[in-house]
Amino acid sequence: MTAERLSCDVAVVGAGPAGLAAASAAATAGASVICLDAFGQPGGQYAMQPTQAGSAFAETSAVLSGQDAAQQAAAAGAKILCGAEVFWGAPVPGGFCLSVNRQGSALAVEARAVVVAAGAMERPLPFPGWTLPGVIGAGAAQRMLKTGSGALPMTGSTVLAGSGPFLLAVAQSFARAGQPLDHFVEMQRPSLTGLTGLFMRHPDRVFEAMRLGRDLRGTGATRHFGHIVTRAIGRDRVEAVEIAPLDGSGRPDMSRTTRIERVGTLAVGYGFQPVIDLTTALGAAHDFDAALGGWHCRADDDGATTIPNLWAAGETLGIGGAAPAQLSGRIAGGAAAAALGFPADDTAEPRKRVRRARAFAAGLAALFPMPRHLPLELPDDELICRCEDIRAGDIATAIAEGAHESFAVKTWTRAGMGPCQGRICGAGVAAALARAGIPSETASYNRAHLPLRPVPLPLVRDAMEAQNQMETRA
Amino acid sequence: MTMIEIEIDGASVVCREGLPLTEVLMSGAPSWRRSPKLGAPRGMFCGMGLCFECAVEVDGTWARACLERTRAGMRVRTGEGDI
Repeated sequence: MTAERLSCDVAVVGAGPAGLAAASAAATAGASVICLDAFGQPGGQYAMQPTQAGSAFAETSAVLSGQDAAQQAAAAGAKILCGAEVFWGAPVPGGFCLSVNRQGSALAVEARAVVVAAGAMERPLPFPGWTLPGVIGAGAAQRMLKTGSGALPMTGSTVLAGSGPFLLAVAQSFARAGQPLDHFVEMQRPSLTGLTGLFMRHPDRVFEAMRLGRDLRGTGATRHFGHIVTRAIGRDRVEAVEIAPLDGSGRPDMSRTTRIERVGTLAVGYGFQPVIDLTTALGAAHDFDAALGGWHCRADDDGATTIPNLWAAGETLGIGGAAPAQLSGRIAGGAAAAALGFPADDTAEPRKRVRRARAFAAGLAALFPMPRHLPLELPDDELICRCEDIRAGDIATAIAEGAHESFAVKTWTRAGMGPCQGRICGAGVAAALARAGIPSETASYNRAHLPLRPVPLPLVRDAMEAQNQMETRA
Repeated sequence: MTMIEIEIDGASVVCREGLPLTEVLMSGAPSWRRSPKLGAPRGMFCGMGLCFECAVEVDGTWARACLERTRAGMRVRTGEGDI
C-alpha cells in the first residue's frame, strides 16, 4: 500500500478552539488549509460534541461554540479531517511532512507551514492505588458525562479529587448531567483575599465563577477542601478511598484520615500539561514554567516557534484555557499565512485580548499552584509506569545510580517506552526526580520517537516512504 | 435513541447507538485487560486516547475503547476474553 497524499499551504494539527481559529484565519487569508484531529468530531476537549440526542450538554455554549468554529473554518475553505491522528512530523524541502493515521490508513500531508494546536492533557500524579480499575482521570469522567448517556456506568459512590479550577468544571458537568457526586476533595484552600483580588481585576469572570461554586453545591457532594486522597483501596477495582487533611507544612495528617467506603469511581485530576510530542519531534525549543503546566513550546507573540514556518497556538504554548487558545490560534493562523505571502490580518485587537485572557489564567494558576509531586510516600512496589509495570522502587534505584534526566530514567528502566510514550508516566517520573532533588527544569522532557502514537507497522512504512520521496525529490 | 446489538467477547449486548464503548464495557466491570508483567487488571484511565489502557480489538483491529462509538454489529474482543 502507498500512503494517500495531500498537500496544502498550512496544515493545522488539532481542531480544538486554537486549531479551528488558526484554520479559519489562514484560510480567510487565502491559504489552502488542512486541519487534522485525532477525534471523530471537531471541537477538541473544550467543545467536545455529545453523541446522544437530547444530551444535557447539547445546547451548552462550549458545544455550540465548537460547532460555530468548525463551520466558520469550513466556510473559509479549510478542509477539516477528523479521525486523523498525526504520528510523526519531519521537515522536508519547502516545508514539512506530517504522517497521519487516518482511520487505519496512512496519509502523508505535505505543508509549507504547520500550526501545532495539539492542546493539553491531564498531568497524572501517582499515588498509592492509582492503577486500580475505577480510578480514572477527572477529564475522563467529564468526557464520559458529556459524550455518553450522561450517567457514569460504575455502581457505587463517586469521588472527584485533585486540585485546580478544572475540578470545579467537572463538578459542574455532574450537576448538568444530573449525575450524583458524593465527595469533592480539593488539595488547596484558595484564600478569600486571593480570589477577591483576582476577580476585582477580572470582573467579567465573576459570574462564571459564581456559577461554578453554585453548581458544586448543587451536586450535593460532601466538600473536603485542604484534603488529599492518600490511597485508593481495593482488590481488582477501587472499593474505598482514604483522604487526609493537609497540615500547615502541606503534608497529609495521617492521624486524621477518613475512609470513604463503597466507592465505584475515583476521578482524579491535578491539572494539565501541554501536549508537546509533535513540536519536540520537529525540533522546536521548549521552556519550563510551572504556572503554564510545565514544559511548553517556545514561541513569540505571533506563535512563531524557533523553527521557520512552524507555529504553535493554544495550550501547546502553555495551559491557559479556551479563551486565550482561540485568540492565539487566530493570531498564529494569520501569521503563518502572512509569512507565506498571503495578506496579513490586523491582529492588534486579538493580541490585546489574548494578553488579558492569559493574565486571568496566570492569576488562577497562582491560586491553585501545580504540585510538582504529591506529598505522599509512594511504596516501592507502587507503579509509576502503567504501560510497562515499572515500580517507584525501580525508578528510585535508577535515579540513585545516576539517571538524572527523564530520558535517562526511560532508557534505564523502560518507563515511557510503552504505548503512552511517556505521556502518562512523564509526570510521575518528573515527580520522582523532583523528590530526589532534581527539578523538572534540569530533568527535561521525554524525547519524541517515531511513532508518537502507536500505529500498525505498515502505516509507518507507507508514511515514511512518502516522507522519503518528499525529502529526496529534486 | 436507537438501540443496537453489539458483540463483546462472543456475547450479544444491547446498548444505545453511538455511545463511547468504554461506557458499555464499564457497565460490566471497570477492567478488561491485564498489564504486561504483573497481570494486574486495567481499564479506562485517561479517557481521551492518550494512555492506551482501554485497548480492545474491534472487528479484528486494535483500538482504544474510549475513542470507539458503539455501532450495530461491531465485534469487540477484550483482554479478558478468549484472545
